[in-house]
Amino acid sequence: MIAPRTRAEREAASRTPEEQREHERREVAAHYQNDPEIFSMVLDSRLAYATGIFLDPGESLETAQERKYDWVRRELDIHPGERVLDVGCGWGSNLIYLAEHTGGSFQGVTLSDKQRQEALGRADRVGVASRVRIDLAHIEDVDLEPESLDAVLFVGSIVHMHNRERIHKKIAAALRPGGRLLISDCYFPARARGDRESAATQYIFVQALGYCRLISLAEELGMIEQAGLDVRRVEDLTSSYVHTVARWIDNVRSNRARIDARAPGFSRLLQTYMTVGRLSFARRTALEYMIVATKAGGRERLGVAPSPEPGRAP
Amino acid sequence: MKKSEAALQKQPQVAGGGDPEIAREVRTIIAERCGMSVDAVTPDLSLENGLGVDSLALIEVNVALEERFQIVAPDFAAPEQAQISTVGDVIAFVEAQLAARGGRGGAP
Repeated sequence: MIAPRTRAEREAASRTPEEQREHERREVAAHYQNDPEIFSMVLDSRLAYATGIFLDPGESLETAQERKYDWVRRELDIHPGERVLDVGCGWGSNLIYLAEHTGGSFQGVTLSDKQRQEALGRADRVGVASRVRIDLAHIEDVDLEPESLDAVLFVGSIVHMHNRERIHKKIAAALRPGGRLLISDCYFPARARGDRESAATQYIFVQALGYCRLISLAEELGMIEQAGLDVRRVEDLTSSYVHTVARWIDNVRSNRARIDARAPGFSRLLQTYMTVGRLSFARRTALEYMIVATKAGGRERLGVAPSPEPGRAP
Repeated sequence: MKKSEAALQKQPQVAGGGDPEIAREVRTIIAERCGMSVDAVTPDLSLENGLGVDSLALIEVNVALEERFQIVAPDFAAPEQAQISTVGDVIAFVEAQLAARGGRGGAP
């Protein structure tokens, strides 16, 4: 049992798991039910609502997100016919990229019907709809057959899920031997930095995004290991997130009137919560990690990815 | 406006010494976000210590000023942002941005 660190977490702890699931279904979905057209003014062309990977601060958001999609593709190593589950698939950014670049079969899960419709439309337009299915559901309510999945990803989504231990056990059981898990999300440093009870924290975790739970990297890795998976790699993407969010904020600024025409006041909410996030990552009071874990068995995977040349690091 | 008066207004920036309407609007925005009366938001007030608010309120001031005056402002809440530390600095910053653009912001 991990001690709650924020008001949002204490409130979650006072609910039953079913009540909390219902709370997430309602509160988290609200943000993502905004018009996808708005997010298309702010994010990259595939609509990734998570960090990209920058090698150079002068790069475009598009380049940084493309590098991330490709990194995810290589980490997941999806062979033709393999089954992939994207939990919190959003508007389908990773799911559709992977469907276009591998021969896998894809299932996405989202709490937002607008996201589901947008993702299905995009899958159709690029000709991968026959290998993409998207369910409107909370992951805790989705039935997963034991050892039925080859890869599972959570990109910018597990932060919205309170009952992590339960979710990790469920995913680990659903992975086949040799199956891969990839998570890209936000964490608190293990030793507290900054004020986790501040109005800014409450604004981003509750008012803007419905429900967020940041734990420490070690706690997440511990739950992954306890669920029976082996951690293969962890990448610190905190600096890349600072640049990613800065691009989003610039896009909010240059589309303020168009955003507010579709949802009055929404540009203000986006810019405010994104600025809180950007400052938190810049000060490292919050951290961004990508985690890859595997289930023993299956194909052997040798080698490691090299770090970029030091001179090019942002 | 007589030439001498115009020249007076071009004197080196005393905080809030430019367009009184802009100064008033900036102070009103800060007052609203920080839950203070406009009169209490004086130019010499420190953003970090004088307003008695956390970083969220300062970020909200940032966003509200950007919206109102259609400018891009640095994050007042960021520690590396040392040049703007008082209400007067914010007013001078907004005035400089508007002067550089050659006019005031759009309709309120």
